[in-house]
Amino acid sequence: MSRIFALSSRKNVGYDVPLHLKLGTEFLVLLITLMSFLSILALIGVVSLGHMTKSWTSGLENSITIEIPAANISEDNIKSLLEGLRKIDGVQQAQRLSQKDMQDMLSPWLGDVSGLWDDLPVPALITVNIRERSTLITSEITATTRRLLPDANVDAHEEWLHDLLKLANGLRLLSLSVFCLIMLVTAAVVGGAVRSRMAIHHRELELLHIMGASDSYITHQFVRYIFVQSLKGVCIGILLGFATIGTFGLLSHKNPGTLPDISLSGSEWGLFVVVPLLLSLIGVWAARITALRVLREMP
Amino acid sequence: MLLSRFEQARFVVLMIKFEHVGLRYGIGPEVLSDVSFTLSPGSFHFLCGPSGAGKTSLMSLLYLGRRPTRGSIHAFDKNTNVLDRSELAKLRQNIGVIFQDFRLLPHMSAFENVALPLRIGGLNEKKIKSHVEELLDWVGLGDCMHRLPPTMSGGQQQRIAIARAVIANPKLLLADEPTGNLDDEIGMKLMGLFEQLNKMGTTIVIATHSLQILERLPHPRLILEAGNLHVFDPKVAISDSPPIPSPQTYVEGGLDV
Repeated sequence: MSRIFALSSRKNVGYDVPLHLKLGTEFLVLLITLMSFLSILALIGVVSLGHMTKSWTSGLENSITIEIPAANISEDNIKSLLEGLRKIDGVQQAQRLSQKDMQDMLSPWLGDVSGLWDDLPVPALITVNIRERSTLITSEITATTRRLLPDANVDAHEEWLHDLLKLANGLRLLSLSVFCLIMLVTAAVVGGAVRSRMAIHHRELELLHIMGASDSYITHQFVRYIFVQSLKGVCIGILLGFATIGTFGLLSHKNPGTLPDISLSGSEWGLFVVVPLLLSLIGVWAARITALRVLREMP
Repeated sequence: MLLSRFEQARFVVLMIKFEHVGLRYGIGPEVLSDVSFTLSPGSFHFLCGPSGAGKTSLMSLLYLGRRPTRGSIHAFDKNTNVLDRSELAKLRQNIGVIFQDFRLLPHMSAFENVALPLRIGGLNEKKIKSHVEELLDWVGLGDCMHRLPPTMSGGQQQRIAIARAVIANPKLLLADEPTGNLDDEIGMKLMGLFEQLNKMGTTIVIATHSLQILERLPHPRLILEAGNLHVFDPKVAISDSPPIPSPQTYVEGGLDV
């Protein structure tokens, strides 16, 4: 890398091989801009899915719901169950869901049910908040419930949580795969660009060889060229990415609940800068490998 | 600067030695067959031969631009067959080449073109500036060193090409038809420059088809015919030796050299 800057510090910053003069430089910058932008979009996917998973699990992970069928509802039984549950070590809170909470929960499916409430066979729900989820506390809550209300159903949300996390992790993996694909495409595009430039400038390369230029000297020319162009592309891509994040955040703020929250922490902002830069380094690496390979094919 | 090259050249025992060298491209016929000769330090040779005789191929082997398909080439006391690419590149820095079509880089100024071998050699910018400006002044291009070659005349471009070939004090200087585009008078002046460089210790090989030059300058000739090489030295030719080939035999009849 120090060699790149040493070359750049030269009074004449031109290239021995006229890389900057041929058409296609803008196209390369555009491609790297697009790749950087796509990598940021993929990262937004990974980060927002992480946030969503976290908010879902934090709400459900430390709670257990007990459902008492409508036919078995008795205020005394519920009271004794609540007392029994509160005595279990690790239970922070145990309370019955109010009628209003139940109506709010059902209204998206049934509409306004306040007038019909007494006629509906709605089960009673008890929410138990626990300090930390463990097999022991889940078994204790289940045993207490079975003892006091044998028909009640204990739902520890485990199956649902498991499926949800599986889905979220699958989507995150997909986003990461897209990100890896972007890296691969960038390497391939840069490799192709370097290969075509070397074919165009074959005579100049031959001349440099005759003058005693080593493969690494010539390779540095291409590495420097790709480094500068990819840096341009990455900077534009980062700006576009940040504009997208800003717009997304604004829309999410104006329409809460419709879009996932992607408010970023300091380290996540850093990630959105570092990852496109990594893309630039992959481009430099691809340029170096390709240039060395093509030069070795020359006499 | 040039004197120091002379001092260095004295320590090189073997400048170039071809031993049974053959060259073919791909699966085609051999363009050079069993070529053997030696260039001692400080020598001056002409390379002649008709078109298609393998002159360009021999030149490319001389500047170590390709490896022979058989035989061996020793350059500057080293067997080039066993050197890797980076060692060969280092060795090429001892060779200056003047091409018939100059092969200047059109996007670089005269200064940058001449500075290129020094940059490749890793010399610092301050020294590059002083050496290049001094040499461009010497070849009469001090006033137009920042002009691009396409804006200069053929003669000026040729002087840039010569300056670029000699700037790094090469031990071996190869010139391909250096007088091809010049009139006889300027051509002879250029040959005078090569002789001067040779006297200072630079080994010189010039490919030429100029009858005037071959008749006036009695340097040994490497004569290529159908891929085979004969060495002829006008100075040591004796009466009972095989008939001396006159320059016309390998130059006339529209034959290129």
